[in-house]
Amino acid sequence: MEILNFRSKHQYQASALGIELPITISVGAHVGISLLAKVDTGATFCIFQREYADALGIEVEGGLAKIVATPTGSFEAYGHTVKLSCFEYEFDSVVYFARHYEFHRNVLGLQGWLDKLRFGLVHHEASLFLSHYDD
Amino acid sequence: MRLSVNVHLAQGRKAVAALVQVHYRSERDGKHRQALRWLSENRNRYRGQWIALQGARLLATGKTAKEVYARVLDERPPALVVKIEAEELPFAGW
Repeated sequence: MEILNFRSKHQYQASALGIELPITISVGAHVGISLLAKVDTGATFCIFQREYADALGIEVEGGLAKIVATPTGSFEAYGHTVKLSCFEYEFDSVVYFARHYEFHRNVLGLQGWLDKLRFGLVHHEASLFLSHYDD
Repeated sequence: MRLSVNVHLAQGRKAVAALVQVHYRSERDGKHRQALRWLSENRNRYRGQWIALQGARLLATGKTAKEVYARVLDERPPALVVKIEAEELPFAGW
């Protein structure tokens, strides 16, 4: 039997909306913005609505351009280095903001979030377990 | 001796800064928990709108994020700003 230890346990709202977590994104001296994002182990990147980049004063198209595939097509997004904070964990990450305002998803994916943490999930109890990956 | 005092002072300042940060995050996370409870009970009333919450307090609503942020950008800790979709279909992930 394998045993995993985690630094913290959190309860999330169990609903059909997915595993939504409150996160805070900041850039430089900006105090930051808080939003809800879904944990998505199938997503390569962390991707957020463009409106949040606007609120942070980020020039979206000045970032690293990527085309992101979805089951129904693709969309453009731009990567920027931000400080990502979730519960007691905070780290610098490259996250992506959608080019178009019609993009209505906020997801925490593999690069920039799951690769920074150890992550345990018991969805039946709406419980989330977290540690820094090297903790 | 002087060097030792300076080192201790620097360590003290670092410890205080870390405690302030812990307190700030704790306050912010408490507000987020309250906001999530509020959302679970009230989100259906704000379909299609952007809303801003500080804990269980609704600060602003609007058709665009820009008009909502214009009213809440000075909030500390930052307000939780979300778009409540007009229709929330099950999400297939990517």
